[in-house]
Amino acid sequence: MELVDLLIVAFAGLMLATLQLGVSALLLLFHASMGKNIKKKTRELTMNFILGAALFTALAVASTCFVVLVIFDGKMPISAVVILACILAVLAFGIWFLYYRKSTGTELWVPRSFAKFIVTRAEKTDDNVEAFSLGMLMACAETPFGLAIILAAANSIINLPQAVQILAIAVFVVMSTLPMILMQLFVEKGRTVVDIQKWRVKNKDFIRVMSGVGYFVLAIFLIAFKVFKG
Amino acid sequence: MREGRVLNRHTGAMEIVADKVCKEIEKWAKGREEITQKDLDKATATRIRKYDADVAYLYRMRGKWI
Repeated sequence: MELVDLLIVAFAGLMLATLQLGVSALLLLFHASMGKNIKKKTRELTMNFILGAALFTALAVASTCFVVLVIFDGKMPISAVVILACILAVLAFGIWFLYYRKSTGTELWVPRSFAKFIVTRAEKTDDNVEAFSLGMLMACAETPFGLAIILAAANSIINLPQAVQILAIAVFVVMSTLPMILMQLFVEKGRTVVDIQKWRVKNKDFIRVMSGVGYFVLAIFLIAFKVFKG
Repeated sequence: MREGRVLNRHTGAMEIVADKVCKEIEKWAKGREEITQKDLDKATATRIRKYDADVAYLYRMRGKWI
């Protein structure tokens, strides 16, 4: 059962990683910074962005675990798990039909004024604190599609022994920030923002489909292991 | 120019490209009564692509990241 909970946590982290807002903002930060700063400064800014996103995710998961502990006394009732699974299924449809706007790029569902705000902030980011807070803001902005994932992960983390819970939160955070870490590595290795953006546009539909399928699979995991078996 | 800096292109080369593209766009715009922002962006990206495909791609992707 512990292995199943750990798998659910890792899979939930992977599903959070498929959300594109943070990745788009990081790429925008690369694009804005490379045009005016030296490589070292760009690296510092982007690493602080990733740290900000990671910290917010860790805090969100930890506080959700606390909420589950306090409200549900450590274990979500079957009715709550079923509702959560239904929400995940609905979000899967949301990701398939609403997440990306119909355009040649990777425009998302966010209001245009908010998108312009992100672009402006990314272009004006000049120090590490701003980059850090931008990372936190982007992780927070993913909440509409990410909260159900975090709740599913928190429900599994609470079931683990105390010694393993911190490890599980770390696994979740690493999995959810993996695309950003990989992007940082690729840019360090010499890839340009053009290569990365072209890859994202080319594989946009694949990522969208797999993300939706993943949400469904997570919902089925919850029903199978938390409702029928639990 | 900014897109060129992002891709580590030489500043002098980008200045020459920008100058040539501006002149071509002036010629293109001469006979037209109305030009939309979309028309202008498309025409500019097409002309930049002749000199540097990656810079043209970044130019076309402006505002389409998020």
